[in-house]
Amino acid sequence: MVESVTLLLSITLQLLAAAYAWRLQRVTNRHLAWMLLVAALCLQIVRRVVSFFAVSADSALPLAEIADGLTLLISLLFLLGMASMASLMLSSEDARKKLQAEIGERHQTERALQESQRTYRTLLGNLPGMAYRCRNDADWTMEFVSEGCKALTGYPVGDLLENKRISYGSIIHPADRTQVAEAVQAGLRAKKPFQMTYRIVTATGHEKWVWEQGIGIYASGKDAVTIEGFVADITERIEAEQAMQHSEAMLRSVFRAAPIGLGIVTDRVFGLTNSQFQEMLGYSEEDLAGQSARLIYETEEEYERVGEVKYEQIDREGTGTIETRLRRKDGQIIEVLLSSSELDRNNRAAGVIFSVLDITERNRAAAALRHSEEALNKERNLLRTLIDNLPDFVYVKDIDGRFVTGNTAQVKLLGASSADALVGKTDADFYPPAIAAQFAISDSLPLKQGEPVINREEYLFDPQGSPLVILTSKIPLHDSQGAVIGLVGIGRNITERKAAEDALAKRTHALQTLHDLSVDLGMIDDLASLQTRVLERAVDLLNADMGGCIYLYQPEDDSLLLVDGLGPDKPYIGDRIKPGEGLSGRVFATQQPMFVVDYMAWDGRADVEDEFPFSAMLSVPLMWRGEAIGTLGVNADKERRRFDQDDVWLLELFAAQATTAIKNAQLFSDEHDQRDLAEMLAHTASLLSQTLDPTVVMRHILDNTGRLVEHDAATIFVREGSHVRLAFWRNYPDDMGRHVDAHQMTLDEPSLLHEVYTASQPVVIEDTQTYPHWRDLPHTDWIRSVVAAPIRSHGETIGFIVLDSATPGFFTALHANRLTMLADQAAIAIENAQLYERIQQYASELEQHVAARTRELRASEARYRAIVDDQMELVCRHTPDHKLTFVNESYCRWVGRSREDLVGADFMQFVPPAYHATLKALLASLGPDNPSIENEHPYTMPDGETRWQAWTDRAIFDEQGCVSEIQGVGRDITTRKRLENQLRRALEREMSVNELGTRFVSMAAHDLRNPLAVIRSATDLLAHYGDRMSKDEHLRKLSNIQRNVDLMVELLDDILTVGKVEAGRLEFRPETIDVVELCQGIIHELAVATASYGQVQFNPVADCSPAFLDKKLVRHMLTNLLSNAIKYSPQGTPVTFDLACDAEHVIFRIEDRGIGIPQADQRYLYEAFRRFRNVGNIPGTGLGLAIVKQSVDLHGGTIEVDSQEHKGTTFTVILPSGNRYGGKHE
Amino acid sequence: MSRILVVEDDQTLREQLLELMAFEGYQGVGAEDGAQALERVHEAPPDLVLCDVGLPTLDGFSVIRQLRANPSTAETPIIVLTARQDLDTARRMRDLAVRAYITKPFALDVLLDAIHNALTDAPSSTA
Repeated sequence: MVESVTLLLSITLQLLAAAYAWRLQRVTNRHLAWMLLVAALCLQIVRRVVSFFAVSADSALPLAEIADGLTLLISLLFLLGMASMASLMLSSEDARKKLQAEIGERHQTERALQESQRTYRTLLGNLPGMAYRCRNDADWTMEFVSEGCKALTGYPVGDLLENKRISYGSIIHPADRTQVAEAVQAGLRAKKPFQMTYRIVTATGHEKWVWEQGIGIYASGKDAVTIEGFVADITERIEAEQAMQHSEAMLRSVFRAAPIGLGIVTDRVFGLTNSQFQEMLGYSEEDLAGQSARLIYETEEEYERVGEVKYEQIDREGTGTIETRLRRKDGQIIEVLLSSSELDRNNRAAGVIFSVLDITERNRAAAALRHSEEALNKERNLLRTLIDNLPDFVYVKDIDGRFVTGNTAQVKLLGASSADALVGKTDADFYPPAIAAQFAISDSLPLKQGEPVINREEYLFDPQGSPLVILTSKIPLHDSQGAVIGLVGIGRNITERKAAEDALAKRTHALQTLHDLSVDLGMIDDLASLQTRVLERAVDLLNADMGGCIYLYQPEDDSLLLVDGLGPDKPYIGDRIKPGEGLSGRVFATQQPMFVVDYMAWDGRADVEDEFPFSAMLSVPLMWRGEAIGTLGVNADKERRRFDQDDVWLLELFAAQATTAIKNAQLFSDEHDQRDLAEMLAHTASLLSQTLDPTVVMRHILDNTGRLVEHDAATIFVREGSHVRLAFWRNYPDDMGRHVDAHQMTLDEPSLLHEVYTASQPVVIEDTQTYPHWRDLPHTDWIRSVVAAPIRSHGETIGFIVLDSATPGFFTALHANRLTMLADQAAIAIENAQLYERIQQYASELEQHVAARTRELRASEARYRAIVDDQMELVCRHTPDHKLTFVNESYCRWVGRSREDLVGADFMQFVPPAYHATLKALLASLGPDNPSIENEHPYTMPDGETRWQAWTDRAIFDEQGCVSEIQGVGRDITTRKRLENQLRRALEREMSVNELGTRFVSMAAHDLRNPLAVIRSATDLLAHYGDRMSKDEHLRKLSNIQRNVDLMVELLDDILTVGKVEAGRLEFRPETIDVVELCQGIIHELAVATASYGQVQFNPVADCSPAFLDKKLVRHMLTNLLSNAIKYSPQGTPVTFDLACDAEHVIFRIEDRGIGIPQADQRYLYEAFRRFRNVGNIPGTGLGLAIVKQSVDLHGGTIEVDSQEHKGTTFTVILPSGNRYGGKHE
Repeated sequence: MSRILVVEDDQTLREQLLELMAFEGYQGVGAEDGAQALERVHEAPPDLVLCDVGLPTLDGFSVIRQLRANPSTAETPIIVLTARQDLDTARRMRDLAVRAYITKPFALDVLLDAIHNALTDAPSSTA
C-alpha cells in the first residue's frame, strides 16, 4: 500500500515536472490542462490514503498535517490552474520533497507497529477489539470475552458467555464460517498461532470486517481444549484498501491512456510503459518489459550520451529533459523530447519515470521554415536583379536625402560609374542647383512628413543635356518603431509619352477652338465685319503678335486685293498685288501654304513690302472648290515666334472654315444687293405705271440712284444733236443748269461725255486730276471721281447719267454696271414718256380732225387719205362686224400686206382667238354714251410673229345715232410690252429669291444640321474621350469631320449656283464651243473625281460642228447628270452618253442602269432640295437637277426623263445650236 | 447595363453615338431605319430609345407610334434627335410623350444628361 502511495505521488510529480518542461517547450494548453487535472486527481487519492493512516495508525506521525497540506495544495491547484504555473510548480516541488521525506519515515514506523501488535496481543484487554478464550466447538462457545466485545459486536459481554444469548459462531458472517473453521483447525493442528480476516454481523445487523489471531491451549497432551485470541475491527482498513485498489486501477488506466508516452525504467530497464509510448515506438508492452532501454536508441553512443546527460540533470535539478532520436521497432527514426525524474529521490534503484513527446513533426516544420527562409533569400536576390534591369529608375535615399542605393537605370541617369558611387551623394552632386532644389522639395514630403509622393512629373536633363520628363513616386521608409528613415523612389521616363500627350491635347484644343470659331463665324452676315473677325481670330489662334492680312482675288484685273489687315498690314488695306508676288501672291499662285522664318531675308519678298518691320510670316490659300479665292496670312516677330507644320495645319483648317463663312457672307451680301436692285426696279416700274411725265420719271430715277450706287452728286444730260444739255441734277445749286448751258457743251471735242458717247459704254474716272479731258465747270471743283453711263434708246444715245464723288477712286466697274441698268431704265422711261406724249398729241389732233371734219372727209376721201397717209400711226376704219373699210399706208407697211388684200377682210383673223371675245365685247360697247374705247391686243404677222398693238377706237355715228363705222388709231407697243414683261419677271424673280430664302432656311434645318451634328459629336468625343481612344479612332473622327465639312461645302456651292439662277443672275453667255471636246473633258474630270474610269461610254454619233452654247451652263448640266448617273448606279454598270446633232439642235442622251426615280417623285424632279425616296444613304443635296433644269431653260432647250425604278434612268436634253442668239443682248 | 437603341440613318453619326454609349457604359444597339428599329425592339425591348425623325422606310413618328402601341415598350423612355426645329414636329413629339427633344447639332453633355435623367426616373418596367 505504501508503495502504491509512493507510485502515485511520483506520477503526480512527474506529470507536473513534464508540464513545466513542456510549457517551456510550448506544449499545447490542452495537454497542460489534462496533466494538471490528472495531477490533482492523484493528489486527491493520496490525501484520502494518508488521512486513513492518520486516523487508524500511530498518531505520532504528522500525517494529519500532511493531509491538510495536500488539501490546501489541491485547492490551490484548482484555483490557480494554468494562470499561475510558476507558483504551482514551486508548490508541487516543495510538497514532493516533504512527502518523500515523510513517507520514508512511515515505512519504518509501520514495521514497528506490526511487532507491537503481536507483543501486546494477550495483554491489552482494553485495547480496541476483543480478547477471548473459547472452546473449540462448533459455536465457538465463549468462556471469556474482554470489554471490547460490546464495541466490536454490539452485544454485551454476558450475552456471549456460554452462548447465553447468542453464540460467537452465529455472529460470524454465514459465508465466512467454513473458512474460519478451516483456518482455526489448520492452526491448531500445526500448533501455531493463526490469523484470519473475516466478517461478522453485529447486534445492529451491520457487517464488520475483523482480524483475528488466536492460539490453541492444550490442556492434556494433544488436543486443544480452548483457544485464546484477539479480534479487532478492521472494517475501515478493508474499505480503504478496496478504495485504494479501485483508484490504482483507475490510475493505471489513466497512465495507459495518457496522450504522451509514459514509462518507468529501473537501471535503464523497462518496467511499466503506457500504450502511447508503445505505439510511438511500435513495440508491445511485452516486447519492452524487462528489456534494456538500449533497444530503442538509434546508436550505442546516443544511448550513452542520453544516460549521461539525463542523470547529470536529474542529480542537479531532480528532472532531466533532453532531445534525442529513437529507433522504432520498424527501424524508422523519430525525434523526441525525453523528460525523466526519479520515483524516489533518495533511491535511484526505485526507478525513473519518463515521458516522451514526438517532436519529429515540429522539427520537420522548423526545417521547412529554414528552407523557406533560404528560398526567400534567393527570391530577394532575384528581385534585386530584376530591379537592376528595370528600365524605370529605382533608388533609395536616407533621411538626409543621400543616396543609399540605386538600380542600373538610376546610375546611368545620374551618370555615375556604379551603384556604390551613388552612396552618400545627393542630387546636388549630379544636377544643377535649380533642379536639385526641385528634387529636395519633392523629397521633403516623404522625408519630413512621412507622406508618399505619387506620380509626380519631374522635369530634368539627362547626362547628355536632353530634357526628360520623369513620372516619379516616392514612398517613405520606416524603421520598426515607425520613424521615417529614408525613402524609396521609382521614376519612369515618360518624355515621349508626354510629348505625344501634349501634341494630342494641343490638337484637340485646336479642333475645339476651330469648332467654336466656326459657330462664331457663322453668325456674321456682313462681309466686312466677317473678314475683320476672321483675321482677328486667325491672329489669336496662331498667337501671331504682329497681325495678319486677308487678300481676295479680283478676277476683273487679275489682282489680289488686301481687303483687311491687322497690325503693320493695316495701312495697306486697299492695295493690290499680282498673283505670284510676295508671300501671299506666291501662296495664291501655287495654292500651297507657306511660311518663312525671316521675311526680310527671304529672296521671294515683294518690293512693296520692303519696309515691313515683321519677319516671321505664315500664309495659306483660301480654297473654294479646288480654286484659290485669296489668302489668309499671319505675321509675328521672328525673335519670339517661329511657325511650323502644326501651325500650317491649324491655319489651313481655320482657312477652310473662314472660306465657307466668307462665301456664305458673299451669298448673303449678293442676295441683299440683288434684292435692293429688284426693289429699285420694282419701284421704278411702279413709278412708270403712275406717270408718263418724263420729268417726274427722271427725278424719281435720280432720287433712287443712291439706293443702288452711292454718290455725292448726280446729273442727267440730254443730247440734242451734237449739243448736250443739263436736264436734271441733284446736290447742285438750283441754277446749275444755267451755268452749265453757258459753257455750250458739245460732243465734238474730247471730254468725258464724248468718250461715253463714242464708246456707247459707261466710263469711270478714278481721279479727275489725272484725267486729261477733265473740264472744270462752276461748282464742280470738288469732284475727284466720276462714273458716267449712256442713256440709249433704239441703239442711239439720247442722254447721259453722271454720278460724282469727292473721294478719288470711289467708283468701280460694279458701279458702272449698275448705273448702266439705271440708264436703261431711264431710257425706257424717256421712250415711253415720249411715245405717250406723241400718242396724246396725235389722238387729240385726230379727235379734232374727226369731229370737225367728218363730212369733209367723207366728201374728199383722197384728201383725207393724203392727210392720214402722212401719219406714222396705224389708222383703219371698219364696220361693226369687223370688216375693214379703210387702212392707211402705215397700216399696210406695218402688217406687210397690200391695201387691196386688207379692205373687206375681217381683221379678227389677225387677232389670236384667245382675245376675240374681249375685243368683240369692247367694240360692241361703243355707242353715244361711250364714243371711244382703248384696247391692247396681240397681232399675228404674216410670218407668224406675234406683235402687240394698242388701239384707240372711236365710233362714227350715222344720222340715227347708230354706229355706222369705227375709226381706229393704233401703234405697235411690242417694245413696251416686252419692257413690262421684263419688269414683271424681275418682280417674280424677286419673289422667287424670297422663296429660295425660305426654302434655304428649312433646308438648312436638315441638310446642314446633320453634318454639323456629326462634326459636333466628333469634336465632343475627341474632347471628352480623346485620352481613351487609339490613334486610329482619332484619325477616324478627324476624317468624319473633314468629310462632313466637304459635304457642307458642296451643299453651299450648289445653293450658290441655284441662288444665282433663281435670282436671275446666272447669265446666259453663249459662245462657239466644240461640244465633243467639252464632253470628253467633263467625262475625264468625273472619272478622276469619282474613281470610275471607263464607266461612262461616250458615243458622239455625229460630228457636231461648233455650236453656240454657254460653256459654263452646259458644263453644270452635264456634270450633274453624269455624276448622278454614276452615283445612283451599281459600281461597274455602264453609263451610256450619246451625243447627237442636227442642223439646229444638239442632243445629249445619258442612260444609266441604276436605282431609277420613283414614279411618284418624277413630277417634283426639278424642284430644289428635293431628294427621291429611294436614295437611301447616297449623299447629295437635292439641288443638282434644279441646276440642270435652269441651265436648259436658259438655253431655251428641253429636257425629258424616262425612268423606271430598279431599271434605270434616261435623260434627254435638246438644246438649240443655231446662231439665233448671235450677238443680240437682251 | 442599360440597353439603348440608337435609331439614326446617318452611318457616321450612328457609329459615333454607339461609341459614346460604349464610353459611358451603356449597351448600345444601332438601327439605320424605322423597320430595322422595330426588328431590334422585337428581339429584345430596350431600356431607352434614341430616335431620329427623318428616316428611310418608316419615319420617326411611325416608329414611336408603334413603340407606344406595343405593351412591352409603351412606357419605354424615348429621346428624339432631329434636325427639325419646327413647332409642328415638337408638338407631335409632345403628343407622343417623348422624354426629350434634342435638335442637331447637339452637345454630347446635353444628350448624356437626357439619357441619365430618362433612365433614373423611368418607371422600371424592364429593369
